Amino acid sequence: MTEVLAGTHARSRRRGPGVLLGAGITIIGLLFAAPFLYLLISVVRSGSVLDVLGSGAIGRPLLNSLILGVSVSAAATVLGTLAAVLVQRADVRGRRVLRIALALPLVLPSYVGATALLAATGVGGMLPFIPRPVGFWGAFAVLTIFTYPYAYLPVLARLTMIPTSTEEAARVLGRSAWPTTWRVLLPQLRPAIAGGALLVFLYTLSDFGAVSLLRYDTLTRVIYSSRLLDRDLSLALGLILAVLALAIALLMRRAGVGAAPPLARTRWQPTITLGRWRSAVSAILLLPLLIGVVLPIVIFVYWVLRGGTTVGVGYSGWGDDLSFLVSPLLGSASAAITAGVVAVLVTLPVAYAVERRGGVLSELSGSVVTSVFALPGLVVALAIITWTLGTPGPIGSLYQTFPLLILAYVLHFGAQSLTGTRSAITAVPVRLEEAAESLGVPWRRRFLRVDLPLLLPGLLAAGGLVMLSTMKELPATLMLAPIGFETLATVIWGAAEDGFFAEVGITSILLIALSGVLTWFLVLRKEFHDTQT
Amino acid sequence: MTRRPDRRAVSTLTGPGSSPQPGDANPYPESVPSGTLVVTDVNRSFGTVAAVRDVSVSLLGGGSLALLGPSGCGKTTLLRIIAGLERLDSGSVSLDGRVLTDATTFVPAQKRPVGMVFHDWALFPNMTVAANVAFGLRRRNSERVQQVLDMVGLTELADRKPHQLSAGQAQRVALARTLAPRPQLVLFDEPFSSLDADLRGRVRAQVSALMAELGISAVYVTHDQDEAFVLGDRIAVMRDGAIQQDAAPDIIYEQPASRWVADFVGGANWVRGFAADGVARTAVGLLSMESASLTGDVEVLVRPEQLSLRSGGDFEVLRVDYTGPVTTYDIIGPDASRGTVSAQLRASMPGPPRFAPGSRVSANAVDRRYRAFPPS
Repeated sequence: MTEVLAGTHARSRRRGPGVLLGAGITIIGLLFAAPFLYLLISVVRSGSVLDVLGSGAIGRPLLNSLILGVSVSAAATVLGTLAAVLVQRADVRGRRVLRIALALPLVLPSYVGATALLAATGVGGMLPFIPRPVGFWGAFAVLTIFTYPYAYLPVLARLTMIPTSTEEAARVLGRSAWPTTWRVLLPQLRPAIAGGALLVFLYTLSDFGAVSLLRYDTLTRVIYSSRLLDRDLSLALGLILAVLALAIALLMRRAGVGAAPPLARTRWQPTITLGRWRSAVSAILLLPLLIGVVLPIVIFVYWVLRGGTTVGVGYSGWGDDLSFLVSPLLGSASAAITAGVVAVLVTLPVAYAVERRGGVLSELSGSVVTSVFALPGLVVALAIITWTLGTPGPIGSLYQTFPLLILAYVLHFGAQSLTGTRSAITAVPVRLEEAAESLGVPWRRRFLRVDLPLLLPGLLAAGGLVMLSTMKELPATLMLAPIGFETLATVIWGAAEDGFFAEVGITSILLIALSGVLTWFLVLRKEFHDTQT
Repeated sequence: MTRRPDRRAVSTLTGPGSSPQPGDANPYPESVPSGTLVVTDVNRSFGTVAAVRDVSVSLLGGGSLALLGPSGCGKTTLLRIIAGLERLDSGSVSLDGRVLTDATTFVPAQKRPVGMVFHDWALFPNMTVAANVAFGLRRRNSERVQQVLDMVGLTELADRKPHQLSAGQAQRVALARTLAPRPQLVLFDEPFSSLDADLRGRVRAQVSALMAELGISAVYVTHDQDEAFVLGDRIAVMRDGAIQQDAAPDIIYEQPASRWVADFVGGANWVRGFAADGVARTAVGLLSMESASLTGDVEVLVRPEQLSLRSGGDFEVLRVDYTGPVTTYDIIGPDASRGTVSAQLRASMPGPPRFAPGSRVSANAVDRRYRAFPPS
């Protein structure tokens, strides 16, 4: 996600796209921008923003969103930075395992985490003596545990690039571990820490599932709950949320999580020796994994074995028929695979234009695709609904159809696909094309023999990332899915709202397993391969 | 300008956190200058790899020692053990009689009166030059900052940030920062390797002159023979974690302890010969040997500049490399001891080329005592 929002870099050949490609990427850019322009225009035209602003209904949810955003990003940044510094600079035990383990809470969507918290506490849970932490503290705890990897990963990546010699120089100059870390290391980490904090803030602001389940009235929750009864309020808040999110994305671009040139790495060398605290610190570093991954799974397994109530088809206890899972599984799979393929196809021309042709038009469509990623899924869904319902004819008839749902995913996650397709295209060296041209190879053959094998890994990664995000996505699916269309996410949501925790448990375990496998192959493996040592 | 503090002043200086304990009696006589380093039987392994093996080396205060060896020979590990950035498995390191580290003691890096210049200089990128230099001082002492910046000739760059410095300037800031807290020993970890060749020569001459002037002991780690010869009063040649030879540069070159040291330090011809009574009969003449104890088949170390060529003879010139001051000739000829086997040798002579490839020459070793080894 960091690299997705980090922006574009300079390229040498800037001929601009031709007429055909230019027209193509313009249409794609407009497609990405249309729903939001429509939302903007309709809100402005109705003047509802002013009414809503005047009514004071906006104050509370906005304030709640900001309070939650600031406190979660502060806590997650401290946690993530501390964990990264310890695991990369101190002589902790089991460093290799810890490095990856600390990123694993990433696998669980926040609404699954919130569900686990609800399932554990209260009547029938494993921990009935703990009162249900609904409201601010529940949302704060859940979001901190599940978003701190967004602060941890960029800091960790940066740490592997900063040579340890400056810290060693500080030690030799007479400073102990603490002032060395504080005065020498942290200032060098600042861009990465700022980038991570903003990412967590953006994520918290966008979160819908956890705050809704834990009943904390942030912008997203109010937008969702008022979308039918008070449409003006919903749209105006949606616009405010969109503006906030874009502003943060802009800040992140300026914070520039730029990479320092990595120096030649020597053997990994701890600069902080923990002494007698070594085992204790190593054990504490396992807590995020235990709380963020193991505990939720244990809670779900507990419910699966214990059983619970349900209505109609569903899961109520061990030995129950699991065939009810077939429909959401197929729904998730079909939505994810279709979204992945379509996103790659749609962003490939933009990627080609940006990487190979340059020009204002290419940059502009690239920026539009990237910007939409910053918008919360809820806002994307809201904008698409407003747009389709407000536009009679073929567009209007798309409402609550499968293609429109796919469109929402493609718009929302297009930037992830664009990053992947762009790196796929850069994997094909320009020289190679020229070499093939000079050899007189027909382009079809060149494409199949040379370009495609080089493109394929990047394209698969791009599609895979969109699949992963789609599978975990909740609010857009809730709002845009055709009647009767279920995914794993909507089943978990519905069952959690109704308190059917056995059903929540079995479905969540399935989702965690699928998401875990995809996350490992698409995110973590790459992250830890790139930043080895 | 206090560029030349007298020895007495230097010997009373203490580094940060190294205030002498009242009970700390100096076991060395008054004549031993401050900054005397003694490394005894140091061992250090990483997993199954022995990085440093039974290394003992010492350095009298105010002197300089070069640790020379190929990459991975353990010289940097040894340096880091002396700095306190790395622990040892056994052995001891002491400075002026005070044990810095052994099996039971470990004085952390920040408590040793030792400075270190890193190969990438490790300037703090977030601080100005002045703040970098002041970092090691206990309280901000702008006078001292000024003084050391003056020493390295960088007074006017005090407000720059490291990224605004050239490589040569960054190098000097790193040195100034190291010198500011008045260390008794300065360790240099390949500090000139990232400078380009032209600058490297100048900077290392300045650095070694400054260190000698200040009378501060210095240990230089380098893989570059020229650098070691210029910087070290003494050179310890290391290989596979162990010291092969520890001696003055001319001894290392003229009387290498082993064939490996001879090959590593400068070019080496291994001339086969037959020895008796301290004289070896070879294709380049009768060579008198350092030791008469070696008899029979031997290989005599003859440096390229110890061979002189004359036209007409048994050798054929294969290749000529003219470098300006000297010309190097690769020649091939019969092997005196075995008749049928041919030997390829290298000779270097001052001045422009005098023989063309393909011409016949005779080779004669200059008259001196040579070091011979049993055949490999």
